[in-house]
Amino acid sequence: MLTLDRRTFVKSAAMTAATTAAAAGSASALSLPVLSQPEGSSLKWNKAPCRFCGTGCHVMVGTENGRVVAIQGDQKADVNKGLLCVKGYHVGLILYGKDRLTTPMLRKDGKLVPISWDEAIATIAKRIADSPKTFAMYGSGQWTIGEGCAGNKFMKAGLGNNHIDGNPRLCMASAVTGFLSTFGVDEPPGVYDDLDACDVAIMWGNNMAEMHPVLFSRLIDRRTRGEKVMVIDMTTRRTRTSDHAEHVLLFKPHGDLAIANGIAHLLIKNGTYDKDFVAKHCNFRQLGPKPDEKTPPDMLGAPMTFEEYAKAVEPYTPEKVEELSGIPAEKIRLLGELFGRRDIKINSLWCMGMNQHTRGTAINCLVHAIHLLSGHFGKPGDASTSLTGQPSACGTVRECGTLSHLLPGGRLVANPDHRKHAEEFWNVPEGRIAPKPGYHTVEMFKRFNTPTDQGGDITTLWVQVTNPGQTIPNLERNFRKKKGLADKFLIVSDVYPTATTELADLILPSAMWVEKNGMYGNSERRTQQWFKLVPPPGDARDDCWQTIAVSHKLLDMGVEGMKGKDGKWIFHTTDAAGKEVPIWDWAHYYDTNVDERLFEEYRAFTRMKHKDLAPYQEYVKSRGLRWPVIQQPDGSWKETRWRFSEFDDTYVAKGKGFQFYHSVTKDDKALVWFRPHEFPPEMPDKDFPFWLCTGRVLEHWHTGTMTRRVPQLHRAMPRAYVEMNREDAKRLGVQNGEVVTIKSRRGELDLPVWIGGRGDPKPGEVFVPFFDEGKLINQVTLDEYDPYSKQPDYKKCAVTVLRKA
Amino acid sequence: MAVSGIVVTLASDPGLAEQAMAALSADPRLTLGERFGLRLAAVAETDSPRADRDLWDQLHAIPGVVHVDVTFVALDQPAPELAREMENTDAHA
Ligand code: SF4
Repeated sequence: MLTLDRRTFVKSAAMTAATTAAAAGSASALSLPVLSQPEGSSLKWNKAPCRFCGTGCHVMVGTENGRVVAIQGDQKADVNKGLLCVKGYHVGLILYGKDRLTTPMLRKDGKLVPISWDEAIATIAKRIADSPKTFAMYGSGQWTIGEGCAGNKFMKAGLGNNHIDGNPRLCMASAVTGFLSTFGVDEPPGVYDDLDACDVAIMWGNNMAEMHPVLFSRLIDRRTRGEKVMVIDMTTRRTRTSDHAEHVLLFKPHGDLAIANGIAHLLIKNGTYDKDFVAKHCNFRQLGPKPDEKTPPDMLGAPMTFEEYAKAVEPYTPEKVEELSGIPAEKIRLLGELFGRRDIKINSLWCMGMNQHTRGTAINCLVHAIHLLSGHFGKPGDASTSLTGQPSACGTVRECGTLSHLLPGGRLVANPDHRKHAEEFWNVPEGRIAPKPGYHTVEMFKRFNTPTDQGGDITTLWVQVTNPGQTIPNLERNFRKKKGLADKFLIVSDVYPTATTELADLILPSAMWVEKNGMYGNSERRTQQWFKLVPPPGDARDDCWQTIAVSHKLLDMGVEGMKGKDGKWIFHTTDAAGKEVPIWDWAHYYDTNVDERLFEEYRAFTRMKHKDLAPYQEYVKSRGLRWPVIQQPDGSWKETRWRFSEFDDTYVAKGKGFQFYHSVTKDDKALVWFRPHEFPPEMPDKDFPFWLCTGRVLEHWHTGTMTRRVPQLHRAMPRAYVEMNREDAKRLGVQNGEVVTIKSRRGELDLPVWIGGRGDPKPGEVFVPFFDEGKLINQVTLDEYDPYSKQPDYKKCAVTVLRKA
Repeated sequence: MAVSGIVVTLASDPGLAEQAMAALSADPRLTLGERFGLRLAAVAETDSPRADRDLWDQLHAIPGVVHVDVTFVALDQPAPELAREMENTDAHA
């Protein structure tokens, strides 16, 4: 054992971490010194998932004297094997921005003034009690599972109000409808291990190098070990991902629909589709007729035969696809050939490019369809996998059902049986849950921003852990109009001032990340757990406690819905001796583990859709487990990597090979959908001749409220810009750095031009990142959305570029 | 003080990799550790977050350096110092 001074100790720990990571995958055996801490040091290390993206890397968090003082990649974590990206290794600093919110503030006479928590909770309870049906809650894929469970139960089982939605509606709702339409159950069948086994990785509008950098490193790193992996980057603009790709296929917006159908066309024409897999495991589907002019056809669609399907994709010849997508016919043939091969493994990956799409459900279904048709499914390396942008879009929102049409565990508000289950699990009287889905995100914000006497029937809105003031499309119309509406009341729980708190009537300071207990669920069905490691600053408190405290206040006020079937409070909690723990009182909130209580209640919901979770304590021991997690005869718990595949999924019957046990057609088969190519709802024209695409950057996480407070990240990417193609810039006489106006039919924004920068759009396209609260590009974007997922399309609308006088 | 544990991935071209090794060994901010094939463990020490960021950029610019992963960061900087740094930026002006 070595005793070292602090700096030497830290250096040694840093070298140990680096050496272990460098050696990972190498044949060399390692012998590392065992380090003791410097004398007098109270540094402690604990695990936690990274606060940022849906990759779900684990970090080791070093704390000392109530502060986070060090971060390292967690060597024990399967996801990241000790590595982190530039954001992840600075994650500790997000707690310490100078302007943390530390006290509740209420707007009085137009000014925000500090108030007590008692006044804040009473103010919210009164607003709700006065008009419970016009109250809405807007949450997040950054909500912990406990926070989501508490919000969902409070709204749906307490107030009988389904107006609760979450920001994953803006980022992955189309992935959900794609999985549901195809497999009858949400979330990817495959896992990240597919990245280690695939021969071809296809990025469908997915800049993985910047958005999921650790996963991209995991893939690309295989090349340094001498393995061959081909990357095909299908994109509308060149990005850092393109730099590593063998083939960069630049397509026109909505061209992806044509490309997928073109691949299907070739598989059938060349006879290279997997006949055995298709015969045993697939049915075919198309959209049925529209019930009326305004209503889209049912999402369940209408059956079609293989022959009808073959006929439907017949027009998508490589030449036709070239015309629709802009990708040369020979590249379409290359894709068709690759999918037609049985000797390689193909992993398709996507994120916002396919989801923020007015035909998002369609393109999700089509990508699954070509994997099913070609049999590139359910073997390590063969998978169609959506990635999420937020750390718990899957765990909290998709699985706990914190969307306006969902109930926990894959249940639907509109299904009477599902409501009955939920009422039983939540122990509330039958009929408590309202049968009609609540408002989805865009509708919720539209109604909140519409005068009450003109149909604006949302009057009080509580936002937790998200920043809609920056992310809602068409911000002027859908967010900022509230300013002139005196009877509307906006409550925002957050950690820093944001574009949303700017218009808030009541601000609640929240605890964040390791300042509270939490659980997340990442993109590969992995549920993760961590404990509170440091205290929150000032008077900041957990979001979950905030919801629980308001619920208890309503109980005190006699609101019947806050009681369960047994007459007890819906969040009634007892200690081991059966004595009530007053968790509504902050002083006693951590007398018990509220997260564990909520999780165990929620766990009962997870069986119906075979999303089985293990007991809370199993997650305490692990770096996450991928559901379904099944108890073994010896009492241990086994996670599942490849769902629906007999070799790994306990729920597949012996001898079946594959079994889609939640099949829409109830015959254990998946659906191969046909959806046609369609043009976007707004296209460039002579007045607005450019496509606008928006997105993220490596250094900043989403709206930048956390990462812009980390000096290193802020300096690396200080402000938003507009990327332009060099030819366009030349034609317009625009110089690098020159400020131009980006204008659409909805709004305009001044931005400096970046030519030949990080990304390179095609001629006729511009790209603007959305992280900068000083440059709100969503004043310009379109609020059209997919008719099934209700997810808006931030990736394409028509704009013009104007030089300043 | 900023101390980071890093893994530098070197180019597969032996000439370029050697060139990168020479540049990395000459940098006083780096302590080089073991090399495993194309992966080199190292520790970077810098005086401030700004210097840390600069080093990061410079490492990426060295011919023969393909990628830099960070595996450990010590954040010994007290909050007021960070606050002062941020006051000089326009992140939340
Ligand atoms: S890839 Fe995502 S989860 Fe991993 S360290 Fe980076 S931001 Fe965090």
